[in-house]
Amino acid sequence: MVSRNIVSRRAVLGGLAGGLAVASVAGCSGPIATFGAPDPDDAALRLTAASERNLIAAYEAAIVAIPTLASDLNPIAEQHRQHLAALGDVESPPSGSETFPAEDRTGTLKALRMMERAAAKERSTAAVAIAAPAFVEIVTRIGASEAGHAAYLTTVAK
Amino acid sequence: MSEPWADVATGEEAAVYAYGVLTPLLGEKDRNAAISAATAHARARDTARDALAGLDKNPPMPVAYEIPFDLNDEATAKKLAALCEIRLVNVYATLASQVQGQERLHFSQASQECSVRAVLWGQRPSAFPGAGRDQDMIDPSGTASRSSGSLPATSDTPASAPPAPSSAPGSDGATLE
Repeated sequence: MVSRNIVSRRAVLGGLAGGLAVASVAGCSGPIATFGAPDPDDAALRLTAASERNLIAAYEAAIVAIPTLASDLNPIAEQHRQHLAALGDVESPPSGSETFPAEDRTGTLKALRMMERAAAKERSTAAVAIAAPAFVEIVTRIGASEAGHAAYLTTVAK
Repeated sequence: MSEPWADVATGEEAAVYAYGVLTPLLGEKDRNAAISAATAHARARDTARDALAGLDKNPPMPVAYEIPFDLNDEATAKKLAALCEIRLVNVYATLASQVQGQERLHFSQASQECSVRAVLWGQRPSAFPGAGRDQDMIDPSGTASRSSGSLPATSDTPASAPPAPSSAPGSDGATLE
């Protein structure tokens, strides 16, 4: 599905079709990318996938640091895994190495909230440059999800 | 393809109506949040109408609305508010793919604002707001089962449809889109 360094638009749409019943793939009959002619959506795809991996790593680190948050944070981490799965098997840079001080519940939740807000903003910006309508929709919904996560984390903090 | 701004105007007008009927059922703190939300939706509706006017198109005709479940206390008021917001997330996310540039950015940001409000009203966070299981939850028949996801709902989770505009009093109404 994915060449070594090239991500096809079909990969994205395939991920979408598996995760959502929202995207029409009409008009996207095959891989757009070829060697020497990168798919213009590749950059957004890789950026989004890398960001999702960072978020997953951050939630996992937060749960290790503060196990009592596991029941609140595991479902959110799982939703980020769903985001990543919907993007397809995308190569992206290694995830970040977020760490949280043990038992700093307030600080950890605040840091996660800020990460979610930043991610949501990043999705809106990325969506503007995307060519494939189905990819626009998935990135928009991911951004809405992350904005919702930030709101949810405010309720966890209370 | 319908005119995206017309869909926005229709959806936002439905939200303005819904907040108008649900706000009196809320406690003081939530009432203030609902008033702020209603103001935001009225502004979004007016923006959509202005955009349509700029395109020399008429805004959608006013319609009557049906509340899809009994609205009789604070819990059902919050449920309706969350449902309207998540429905608008779906409207904006769908429309974002049909436009370009600043309009796309606007719709994307609007979807996020609605998603935030939905969660604060008790909507369970979702990986793909307004799609998949969220769509199950807004089944207009009102018979969709509640999501079995593992996330704890922060309060009651919407399980049926938002107010649907009806083309005539007593009709079965239509969907927001």
